[in-house]
Parts: sequence; C-alpha cells; structure tokens
Amino acid sequence: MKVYIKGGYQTKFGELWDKSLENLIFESVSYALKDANLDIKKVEVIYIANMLSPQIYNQNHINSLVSGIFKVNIPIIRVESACASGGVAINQAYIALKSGLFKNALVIGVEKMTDLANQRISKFLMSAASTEERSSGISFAGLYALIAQKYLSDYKITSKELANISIKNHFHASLNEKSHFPFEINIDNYNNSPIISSPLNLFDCSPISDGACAILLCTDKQKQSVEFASSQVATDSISLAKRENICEFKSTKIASLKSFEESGIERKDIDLLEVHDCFTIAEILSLEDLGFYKKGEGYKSSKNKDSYYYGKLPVNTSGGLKACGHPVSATGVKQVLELFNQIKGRCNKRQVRNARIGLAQNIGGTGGTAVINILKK
Amino acid sequence: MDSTIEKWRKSNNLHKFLGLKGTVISFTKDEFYIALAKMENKSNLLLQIVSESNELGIGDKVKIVLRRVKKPNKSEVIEYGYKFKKIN
Repeated sequence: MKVYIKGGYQTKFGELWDKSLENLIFESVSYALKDANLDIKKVEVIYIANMLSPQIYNQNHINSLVSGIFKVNIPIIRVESACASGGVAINQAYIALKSGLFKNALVIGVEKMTDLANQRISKFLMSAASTEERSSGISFAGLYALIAQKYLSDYKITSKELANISIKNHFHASLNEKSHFPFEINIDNYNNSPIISSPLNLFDCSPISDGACAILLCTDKQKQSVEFASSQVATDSISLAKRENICEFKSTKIASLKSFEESGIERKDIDLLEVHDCFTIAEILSLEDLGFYKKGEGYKSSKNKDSYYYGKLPVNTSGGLKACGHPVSATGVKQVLELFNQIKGRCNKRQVRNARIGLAQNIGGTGGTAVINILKK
Repeated sequence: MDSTIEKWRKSNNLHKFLGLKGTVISFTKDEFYIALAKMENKSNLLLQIVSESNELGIGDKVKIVLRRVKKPNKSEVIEYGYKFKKIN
C-alpha cells in the first residue's frame, strides 16, 4: 500500500497573541483541506500532535477538542513525543494508511507557547528530560550546551562554525514569509548576542513560538501527489547524561538506517534535508548521525555553503527551527510540508532545483525519540 | 516538584554516591554552573558545581559532596542532594 500527501498548510509561526490554540487548529486544517481539495466530512482519521497544552492550559483530551471544532466523530488520536510529536504523528498516520484500514488521514501539529513567560515555558519543556536532569536545574539549552562544549573540544573547532549554521537558517527564513524571524543575520549579530548557556548564545537557540501545520495523507494516487518512501521511528534513553557518547544520537542513526532500508533510497539520491536544529549544534549532529557528513565534519555543510538552497545538499530551506520557529509539535509536520512544497516546486525564492527526494528528521528531547520521513516525487 | 514522600524516598539512597570521584566530560554555565562527569563506578552524573569551584574544564577531577539543594519554604522538608567539588 503506498501513502501519498495530498496537500497541507502552515500558519505563520511567531508570537501570535491574537490566536488561541483552537484558532491555530482551525486555520491550519481549513487551509490544508482547501489545498488538498478535500472536505472534512471525507477525512477518516485524525492524528493531532501537541505537547504542552496539558501544562500550559490544563487541557488534556486534545483529540476531543478537535472533534468539537470540526463537528466530526471519527477516530482522533493525540500523539506526544516531546519535540518529535509532529513527525511521530505523521508516522502513525502513515502506519494507519499502510494497514489498509483507512484511505486518508489528517495530521495536525499545533503548539501555543507564548501566553506565558519564557522561564515557565522552559521549565515545562524540561518535562522532555529526565528527573536527574531536572533536579540539576539545567535547561534544554544547558543540555545541548554540554553537547556543544564537548564537541567543540573533541573536534578542535570554534563557535564560529556554529554561527554559520544560524546565519544560513536565517537566510532561508528571510525567503519564507511564514517564518518567525524572516530576516538575515550576520557574524556581528551572532558574536554580540548574549550567552544563554555557555558556549551557546541567543542565535544558537531556537525560539519559543506559536504555530500549527496540517497535512493530508491518502492512499489514492492523484495527479499532483508526492509519495512517502519511508517513515521510521527509533528511541533512546530519556537521559542524555547516561549515554556513552553525548555527541551523537543513536536514535537518529538507527532511524536513518531503517529509513534507507525501507525506502531502498541511497544517501546520494537525497536532494534536500529538513533536520532538527533546536540548537545549532543539533544540526551538525543530525548531519553526521544521518550519515551525510563524517563525524566532526558536519559543520562544513554551512561553512562551504553546501546547505544553502542553491548548494549541493540544501538543509532547512524552511529556515529550520532556529529561524522559521519551533512551535514544538508543529515542527515535525512543517518539515514534511516543506519537503512536499519543494518537490512540488512551490517554494518561490527558496526553491531547490530538481527537488525530487527529501528527508525530514525530527527529534524529541535530547534524542530520546527520532523520527525520519522520506518523501519522493 | 518532589513531594515529601519522593524526597524521603530519595534521601534513603543519598549515602551511596557521597565521596565518589569522577572526571568531567563536559560542563556549562546555564542558570547554574553544571558539569557532567564519568564517575569511578563507571556511571555518568549531571550535577551542579559547588559555589567555591565555579567553572570546571573537561578532564578536571571532581568528587561528590553533600549540599542543601534548595531553600525550603516554611512548610517544606529541607532537601539535600549532591554537588560536584573540584579536587586536585
């Protein structure tokens, strides 16, 4: 059974104080259905990704919330895997369609994070880490800073290599009107920004954003459809601190191997990537763990401009998490929608030439969950 | 936030790692100074660094010491835990 994407829609990502969680769900789904030319009444199952509503709004049972918004009584399943919630929701929809039990599925990724001060949100985000890590008082920036500190020391590189990643993602975001920060930055902006958790500064860290993204999957090949070549999930311990090597994510490596095995595609066939740059160091780790760059050389992708939309292997043409924004559960869906739009030639100023096969990698926590979706024309 | 019961449960094991020595794998200054160290019993621990030690470097030697981990309010049980102290 083959699974296709019919259409999708991303809301603007940013500080959207005038939009509620329900507004974001309604907007993303309404326009996604329009793009796919499908009526809500024809949707057979919905997967909704959301992490923080229980903590921020005391709202569990999100699936039932969606039922009320669209007045449907179909199965609706909430999926949560920290920042990988969106990608995993897509994976679950893919599996449902592969089973033959459903002919189509709607996947929604939504997060509303800016109604509370950043400090409280940072604490809530630490629910994706271990008890020990929370007890130490560390934040997620701190956990990735530990990775960055060790990586820079092991491979004898400086934070300038991290800057190149941020500069590249901001450049892409400046070409994407849906992004949270649609502007370029330069090395001076990077160097003058405050340290968040040494050695990571403000421009190494993805922001706290609101936003939603919805896509429609189906098993009926339409003229304009893009196909799933594979969808794979892998996991690892919730604690970064307990792992043998903190500078690699086993979950990405395993999901990556399974993805290439399932799809029969080789790395050299991949035209573009959307990877999980929650922090600049994470983009470097992702490129290495996915096997596109040797260990210790992932930074070269941006240094050599290979990762720009016009380069050898474009990475994060959406602007990535850093510059497009990171409404946690919307990110994984946005990544796949970006691949879809690139393959369909709908990306205007950031269009990758001859984009035929794309890979999206979405991570939960510090690699506790990794999900990889590969799309092809 | 830990309940009193959780704090009691944790306190039963506090003696286990006290005095244990290790080597710093990585560190950062977040809201606090924090280090990740590989201990002599082969486990990795993530702990704050005592205020007298401040920043550590990769490869520095540390040992685990007992510290109060937060200022309790009037109704809370005083909570103790571990921190790293640099050793020469």
